[in-house]
Amino acid sequence: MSAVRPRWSNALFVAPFLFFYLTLLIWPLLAGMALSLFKADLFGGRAFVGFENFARLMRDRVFLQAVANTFYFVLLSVPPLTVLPLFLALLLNKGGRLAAFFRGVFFSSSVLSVTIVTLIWRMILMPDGGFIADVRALFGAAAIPFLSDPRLVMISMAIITVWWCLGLPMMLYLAALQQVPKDIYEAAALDNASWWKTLWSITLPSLYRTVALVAIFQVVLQFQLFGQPQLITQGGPNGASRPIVLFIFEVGFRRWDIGYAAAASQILFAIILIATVVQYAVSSRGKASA
Amino acid sequence: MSGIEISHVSKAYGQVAVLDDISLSIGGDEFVAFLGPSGCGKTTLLRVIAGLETLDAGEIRIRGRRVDDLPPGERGVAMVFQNYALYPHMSVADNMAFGLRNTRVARAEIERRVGDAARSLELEGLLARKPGELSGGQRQRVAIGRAIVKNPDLFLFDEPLSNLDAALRMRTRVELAQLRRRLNTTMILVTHDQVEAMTLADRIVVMKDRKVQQVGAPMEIYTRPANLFVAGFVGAPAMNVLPVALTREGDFAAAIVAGTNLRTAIRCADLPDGADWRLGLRPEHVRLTTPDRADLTAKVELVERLGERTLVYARLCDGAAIVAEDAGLSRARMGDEVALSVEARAAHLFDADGNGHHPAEPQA
Repeated sequence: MSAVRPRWSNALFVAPFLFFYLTLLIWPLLAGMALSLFKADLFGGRAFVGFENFARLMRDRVFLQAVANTFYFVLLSVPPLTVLPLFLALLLNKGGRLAAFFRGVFFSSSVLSVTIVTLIWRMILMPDGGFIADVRALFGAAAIPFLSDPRLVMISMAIITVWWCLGLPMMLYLAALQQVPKDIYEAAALDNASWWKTLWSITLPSLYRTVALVAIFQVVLQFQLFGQPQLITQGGPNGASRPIVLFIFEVGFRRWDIGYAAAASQILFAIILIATVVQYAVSSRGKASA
Repeated sequence: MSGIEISHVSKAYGQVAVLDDISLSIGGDEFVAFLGPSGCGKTTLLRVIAGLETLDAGEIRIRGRRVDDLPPGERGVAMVFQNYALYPHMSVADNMAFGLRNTRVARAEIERRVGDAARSLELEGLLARKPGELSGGQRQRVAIGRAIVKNPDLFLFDEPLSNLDAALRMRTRVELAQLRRRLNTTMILVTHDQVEAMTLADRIVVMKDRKVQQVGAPMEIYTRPANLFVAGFVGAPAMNVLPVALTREGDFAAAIVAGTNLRTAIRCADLPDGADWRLGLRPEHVRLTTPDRADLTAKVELVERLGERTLVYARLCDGAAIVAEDAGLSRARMGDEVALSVEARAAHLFDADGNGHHPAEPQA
């Protein structure tokens, strides 16, 4: 009997992990939830206001615009970030120096910090002496206001983000492609399957889990858009590129209204959670009926 | 009608040659086994025929049509892979129908063929299952079914039994033999298991070091091995090979083994000149006997009791190792001095180059 009786000293094995998990993740999460119920500022004054912060958010047009911007950005960036790396991986999933070189090229953007990325893209997109403006000028065309036109600014952010982020999903797809047994491709060749048929009936079903993983991963990541608009447009023009995280940052660290910022964080948390759960449910149902 | 003509096929991976000028002709309804040790090129030859590998030189024709420049799907071949290579996300029925759909066979015809194959392979209850939900033997049958429904000109089997346990392997071997009788088309089996090759094939192609060593009916390979490699590779336990000196007894050659003259049925006139000879004796032609009928005596080193027969591993007085056979209930024990009778008329001689010389009349 003694062999199966739990011994509390065994908990020591998980204690270090548990300590950091609780203090650095769970406690801040709960503290943030509690904070969202207070009117508080960074200098210590705090008063319990119940759900007043959330009610304020629902009336706050700046916040609602930020929510809409964020959804728009996720819609613009996640599909290309799920599909483009897949095609890159299919093209580069072969031996040879050229493929290895391009794998390196496409992955290299991922190692850059957001500061460098935004610097590079500012130099490309600026209407004044930017790369695209210069090229258009050669043909006598006017510069396009990529960053100052409210209709274009989120599209520009999405392009920058896709360029920056597609290396990792490409590597995930490449790793998944290497796991597909070679002989089922040979069987497909003997079964007269065309390139498209092979992609559709053999490769994609084999990559199903990875596609779902990449999509969920990108949704979680892109809902947290912050650095690109913060560094390039500061949320402008007219709030057109302000995502939720930038709103939280401004409210919390410019206006010191951290209770209100915490409430906005809870809403972002809920949005990401719901989006992930929905996506997971959809993809596992798709798998079950496939 | 000719099934397959392989002429002067060579292939190399970089500097490493894997097939060296192979030529072979296989009849339209023949079952041929490529037999050889790992790395001999047998699987590569199969893959070259299937179109999964390109060839560097030579030509392949299937039913008169040149195929070596066609993609695999247009060669009219079906292959059963060693690891089955079933599509893991498709049901059994879809696995079998996939190739037919790609060639736009009518839906009713697909259903008929898949249904027929499922009935004959006892897969009817499994058609909706995925490969992951099947046992090894069932997967094997699905792989065979996928090949059958295509009505190919040529079936290729790449070591199809090697992933099955012993009992299932025996059963599947019988099923393959029945399948062959039913389909009556050209089949090629790659194997390193001589029992599979001997029991299934009409002819065996023995390969070693990228080259064909011998092509012949199973019993011909067994009774008249072309060279020392074939003699040693086919047959278990392997043929006894003893270095000997030759002498003449009448028209026939006699080998001197441990001081005893063993008269073979091989005519001296058929042998080339040379001094370096080896005598080949199958274990079943060396039997334990009573001392008064002994050709040789030997000391027993190991006894393997297989039930219906006993294998006796012994050493002659000159130190040469020899394997003899005895009845299932043999009394031989380790350390015994035993008398051996040799059926020398069935013996083979191998010259210095390893080429085999056999009695004029094959000893079956």
